Amino acid sequence: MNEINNSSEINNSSESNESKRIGRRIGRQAGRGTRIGRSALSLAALALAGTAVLAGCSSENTDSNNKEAAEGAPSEQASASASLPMKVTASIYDRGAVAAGEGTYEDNRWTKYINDNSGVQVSWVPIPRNQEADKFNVLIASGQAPELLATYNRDFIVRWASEGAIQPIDDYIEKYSTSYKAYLEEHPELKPYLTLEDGKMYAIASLRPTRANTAIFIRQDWLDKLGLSMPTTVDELVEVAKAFRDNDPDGNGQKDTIPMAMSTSYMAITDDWFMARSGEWFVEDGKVVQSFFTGRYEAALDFRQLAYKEELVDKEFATDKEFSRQKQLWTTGRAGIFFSNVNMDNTMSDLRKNDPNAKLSVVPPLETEYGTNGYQLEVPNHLLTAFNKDLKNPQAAIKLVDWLIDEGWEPLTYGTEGEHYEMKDGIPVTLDLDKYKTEVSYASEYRLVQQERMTPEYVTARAGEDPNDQDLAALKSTIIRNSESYDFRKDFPYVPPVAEYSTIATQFEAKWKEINTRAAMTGISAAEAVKDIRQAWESLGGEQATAKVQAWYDANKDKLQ
Amino acid sequence: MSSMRGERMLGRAALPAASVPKTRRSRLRDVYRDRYLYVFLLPALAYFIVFKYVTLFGETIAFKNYRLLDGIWGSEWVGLKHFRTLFNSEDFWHVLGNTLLLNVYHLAFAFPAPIVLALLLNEVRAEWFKRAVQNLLYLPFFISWVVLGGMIVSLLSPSTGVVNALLGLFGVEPIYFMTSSVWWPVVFIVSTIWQSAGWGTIIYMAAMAAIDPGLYEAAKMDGAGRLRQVWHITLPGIRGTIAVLLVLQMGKMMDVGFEHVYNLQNAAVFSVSDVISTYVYRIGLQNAQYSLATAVGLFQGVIGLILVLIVNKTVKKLGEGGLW
Repeated sequence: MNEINNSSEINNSSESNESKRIGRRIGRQAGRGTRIGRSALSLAALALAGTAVLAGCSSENTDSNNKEAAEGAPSEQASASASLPMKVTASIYDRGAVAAGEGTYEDNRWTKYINDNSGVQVSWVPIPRNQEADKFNVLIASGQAPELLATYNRDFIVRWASEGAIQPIDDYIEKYSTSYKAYLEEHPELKPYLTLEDGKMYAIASLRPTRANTAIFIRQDWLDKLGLSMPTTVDELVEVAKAFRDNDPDGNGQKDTIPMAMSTSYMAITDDWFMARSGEWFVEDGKVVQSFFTGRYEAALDFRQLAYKEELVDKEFATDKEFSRQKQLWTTGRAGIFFSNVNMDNTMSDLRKNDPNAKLSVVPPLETEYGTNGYQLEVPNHLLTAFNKDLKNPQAAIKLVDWLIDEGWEPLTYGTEGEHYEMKDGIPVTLDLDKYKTEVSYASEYRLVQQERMTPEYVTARAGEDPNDQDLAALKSTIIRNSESYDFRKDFPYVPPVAEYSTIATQFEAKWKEINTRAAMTGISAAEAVKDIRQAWESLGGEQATAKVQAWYDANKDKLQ
Repeated sequence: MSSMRGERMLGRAALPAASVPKTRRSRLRDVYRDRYLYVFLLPALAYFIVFKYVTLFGETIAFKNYRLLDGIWGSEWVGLKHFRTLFNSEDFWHVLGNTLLLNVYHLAFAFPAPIVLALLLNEVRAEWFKRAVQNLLYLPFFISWVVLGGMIVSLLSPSTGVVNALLGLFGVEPIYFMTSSVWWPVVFIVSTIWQSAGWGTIIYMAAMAAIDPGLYEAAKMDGAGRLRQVWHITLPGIRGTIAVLLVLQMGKMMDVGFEHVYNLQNAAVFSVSDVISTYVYRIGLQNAQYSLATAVGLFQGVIGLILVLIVNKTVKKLGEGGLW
């Protein structure tokens, strides 16, 4: 589930493999205490036991709170709310990106800045980025979830709402908000993403800085050296990769080049070429169908098998679960084609450190027998913030949101004027990229809402004098421009909120991942692999789920544009 | 009187005393007399009540459609619905099969490993060597599976791993152990032995230390060699310990340590490495199907209990003490 829905967030996640690993490790070690018992089970039991004990204490409270919220006259409630302390707890993605000298996710210069300037005291609860599903579930089930729950995964919002863990927010916006209310009126396109089936809004979000996401980088210096031109079709990409493999592009006299390095984007991009992203729904002739059964998916399987057989990718990718080997291949100059995404600053600068002459380009969308599909285009909304049912002071929450969208997002994006940036022609230009990366870049995580717009011109203008930064900005601009000028096929803007599907999605994902890996590494034909996937789908009750998704689609297709 | 008191404290040994009928009054007096001992018992009792018994109440959600908003009480009863779902799903049987298979391997190879190791260590004469070896053997037990998992993956890597480099010396083609569904269970069991066999020797060594040295001396007089001594004195001497540990191990037949599997698992070997603990993690924690996950856990627990009961009975029939 996690992966499927978060594919829309690859953007942020794959860059920080390092941090994910750390986060995961922390998470696992936390789980270690229960090792004597049945680890996973006892974790679950612990969570459930927590509820058992806490339910007794908290259910009374919440019931009366809800009743008040429902029945209390607005004015009464407002005054009651005003007398409450302006405090709120909120979740924050932990990507392990806060440097030791900066403090922690709970306490650093930016959390202090928020507390000093927003008029709201915020306690942050870190959620390991790669374990959000289990972490959120445990916190919610044990009644310890923060008051504001921020996620990129809309499916969580759907589930939390149906579980009754979060509450609708229309009234709060109406009553307390000014700035965010105005922002939402300016951007009505956000509303469908925030509104659930019951017609109520359950989350707060602003627009994404850019909707670009996945990208392929290529060593332009290698292309030049071997006299090759930029590939425009998938077949040409294969030819280029073979040339990289055979013709010693790095000139070290050894045939040690592994042409293509992966990240979480590898599956995504190779699926997207053929308009069949694993696990997503498509509409073919008015019928909803899982990507695997579109008839196009075989082509993606074939490509991955070919890449493995021809040694165009690392043969040990299967055990490289965090993609650390892959990243190393790229940053040490052993790979020439990198399946990555728009936020790749670290890997790019690491490569530059190892090989100052490395010259990079962005591979344009590639043509296949099915036409040319663009790179992934994100949903318009950024982070989704939901309000816990036990939220004590909604006014404080709204105040924080209003402050963030008004002014708070700017320092959290650019840093402090004079220290991290300088205004030039109305655009904040970063002074020292390294300093910015350490002291400011992690702060963007705290922007529950923001108004940053990453246009190509803006990205280029923001980069400082340093030629390296300029190059990176140029690459980014190209990616953003590509995302704007090519169509990306996405038939469902978000996962259809159908319970029959979401209950089997995680289990199904485990299956198709296995079949995919096996198909890539062995000689089984794509048709056989798809047959296996279909069998797994059917044994999980996939046909029923398809029927339900079809019904949902038929009822909602006018809204899905 | 004082000897009776001692016996009561030892619990099981107090059988003859229990046959003497006791009035409630004198029982109370005993409690009063031993009041400080009972106070010492309280924290342990509280621990078991709060963390082991109260939580059992949560198992009821296996028979309900658990919704957070409704809570454990309020959720609607659905009877055996979740169990029916489970028993009708291919995945569950598949996962159950994997779990049992790995545990059978465990019983066959990993369970005897510490016994063999302890017997060997017991025969070592040089004390310093014995201690050094013991310490080295304990070491992996204190390393987290996260770290061990990473070490295993790199040791077994077909391109850079030591193991394949060694095999290469004998002209063996590199083997990608971690993604082969044949090799993966082997790696799993060998890594279990590596991690815990050393630690497991402790309890056997203790049992061996309790064997009367006079027996060995007598055996030597009768001309018994080393192997004879091991066979006729050491092994029978630790038989009771082996039996108890075997019964405990049976209780884990339905269980494979989550961290161990999770850290060695990868998508290529999912079909042989998906076990109950990873399945519960996926449906319960990741997919938030709490009721279904609890049903799996309950099923696992009940089968574990039944196995313990059966094996305990068998062991007792064979003349050992068993667990109770």
